[in-house]
Amino acid sequence: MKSLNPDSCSPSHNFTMTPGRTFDVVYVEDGLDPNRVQEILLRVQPKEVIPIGHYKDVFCRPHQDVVLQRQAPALILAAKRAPFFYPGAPVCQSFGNEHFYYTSLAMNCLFDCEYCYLQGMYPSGNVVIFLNYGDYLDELNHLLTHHPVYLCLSYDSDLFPIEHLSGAISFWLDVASTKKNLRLEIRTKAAPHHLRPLPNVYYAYTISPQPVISAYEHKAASLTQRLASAAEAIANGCKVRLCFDPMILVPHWRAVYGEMLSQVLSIIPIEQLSDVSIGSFRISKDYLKILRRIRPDGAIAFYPFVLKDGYYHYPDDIAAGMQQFITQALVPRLGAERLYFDQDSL
Amino acid sequence: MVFLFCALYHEASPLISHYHLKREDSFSLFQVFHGGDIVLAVTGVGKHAASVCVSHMLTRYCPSNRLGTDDVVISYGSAGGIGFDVGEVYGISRILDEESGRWFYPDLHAHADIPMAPLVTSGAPVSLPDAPVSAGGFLYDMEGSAIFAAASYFAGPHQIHLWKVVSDALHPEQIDLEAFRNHMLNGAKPLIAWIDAHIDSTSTKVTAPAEDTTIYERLCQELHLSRYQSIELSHLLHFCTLSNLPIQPVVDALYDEALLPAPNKRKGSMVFEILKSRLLQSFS
Repeated sequence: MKSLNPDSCSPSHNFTMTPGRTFDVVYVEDGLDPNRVQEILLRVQPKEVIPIGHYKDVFCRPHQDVVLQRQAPALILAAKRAPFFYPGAPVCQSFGNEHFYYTSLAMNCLFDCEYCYLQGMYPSGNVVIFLNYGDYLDELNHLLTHHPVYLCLSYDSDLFPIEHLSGAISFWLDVASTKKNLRLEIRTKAAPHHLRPLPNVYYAYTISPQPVISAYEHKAASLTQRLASAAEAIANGCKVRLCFDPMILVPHWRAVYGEMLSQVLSIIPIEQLSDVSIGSFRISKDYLKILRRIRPDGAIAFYPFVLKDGYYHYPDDIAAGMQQFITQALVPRLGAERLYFDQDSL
Repeated sequence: MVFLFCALYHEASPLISHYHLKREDSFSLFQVFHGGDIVLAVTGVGKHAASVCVSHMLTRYCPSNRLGTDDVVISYGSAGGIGFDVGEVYGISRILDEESGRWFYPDLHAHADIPMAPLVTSGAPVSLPDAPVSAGGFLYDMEGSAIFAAASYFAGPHQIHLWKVVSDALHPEQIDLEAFRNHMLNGAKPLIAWIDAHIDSTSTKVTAPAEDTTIYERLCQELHLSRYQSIELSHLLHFCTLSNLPIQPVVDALYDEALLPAPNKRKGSMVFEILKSRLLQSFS
């Protein structure tokens, strides 16, 4: 298994290279900008570079072992074809934004979270990075002529660990700095430093108790690292969102999440957060079925969930109890109007 | 299982000798050798023979039409190519079927530390001076794409591996049989080391803890569970096992309280809910 230090990602003005080889094999789609490709290959220094016609020739092969691939993924460099922006899914929070979209700048992630829905969504555990951001921008400009856009960048991948290769965050921060009617959310389980403060960019940190991180969020930053990064971002004037989502049901969860909240409240100036999202684990029926098949040793997926509108949730009383537990701790310092909930699991 | 496929007996010979494989008389279409966890088939030359042989073997050994998690398919044989040292062994990184123009990509994560090369599979022997101008840097054979395509019906790309020993620089007519045998013998050494390591790793693999099926079967019966409830119970017991939650004491308590066995389906469903809530008590 490759080691990855989440602290080594510095997605802002100055990039820090991740030392060592992250990918042994890189597949390169035909027709990409050769200079970009060369630049990435120099950084990755893979053992093998394999040209391909279309990224799906590798990514969508039948019967792939997603879990095995995620332990030592190959990198696929490709160009995305339209559509570049998708309407936000009903189980995702829009934070009150009417025109809520997400985009796929990369597929799959260097972190290996056992409960991640991407394992059920994609047929491969290999990582795809799309390089044609100019094409994305053309479509975005078109959307912005009709209405403002709230855009989530990192639904299909945590972008920070691959920033030294993709440059995606840097590119989109530059875009956001010139477009007032665009609001971005960049979600992460890493602990980046020196984040660039922009009034229309939200840095959203997934916050989990350390026992949950240790057990299920493999290779991701520790709770202490995430909180330190978030506190630094707030101090630098960034808009920071904490996401207690997904909350994972573990034995004696009140004690486990209580310990986490003590740490959060002591490190983060809660009043200065932009907002907080709270939600318990939920997953579509189809993805859970795949998750149970490919990760038979993962406890989270085998909980006796309740099926509601095609999504599996914890039972209502438990989900509501978990959300209230976080809410009660934060409301006195943040105010209820800045808390957003996963309504479906309440 | 390790399924080995070679086009020629001379390619298979070092593997048959090393693993002391014995001829299987029950196969009439192909020469098949078996020993321990290894089955080797001599496919014959060409794509059609290779396809039929792979399909025949895997259908016979995999009644579910899917290879087991630890099973692998390995093609071991010779190939010609310009720009390669004769006798050197290569893992195959991608395969072009020359007639259809289709590419195949095996997963490379589990490959041994040997050089990789792309392979072109052709329907007829490729030799100079008729070889395409772009032949340099590619190995040429007559079975690879067919073996990969046929095996892909039964296996994932991480389970199919192609190993090629360079036999000639696209001058097949100049191949010396004695030298060829030696090249195949030497080329088999890293493959044998890889197979041994694979078999060793699968035999020592730590698997997820399995729940007690006796409890499951007994509970299904004594709670009068429906098919859907039985699946639910199976997941619940698996969840408890993975979460190190004690199952037996909770079940024993239900017997002590005379809640088990349940007299009928309706009571059974009620007791099932009690069982669930007690097992998950620490999660509430």
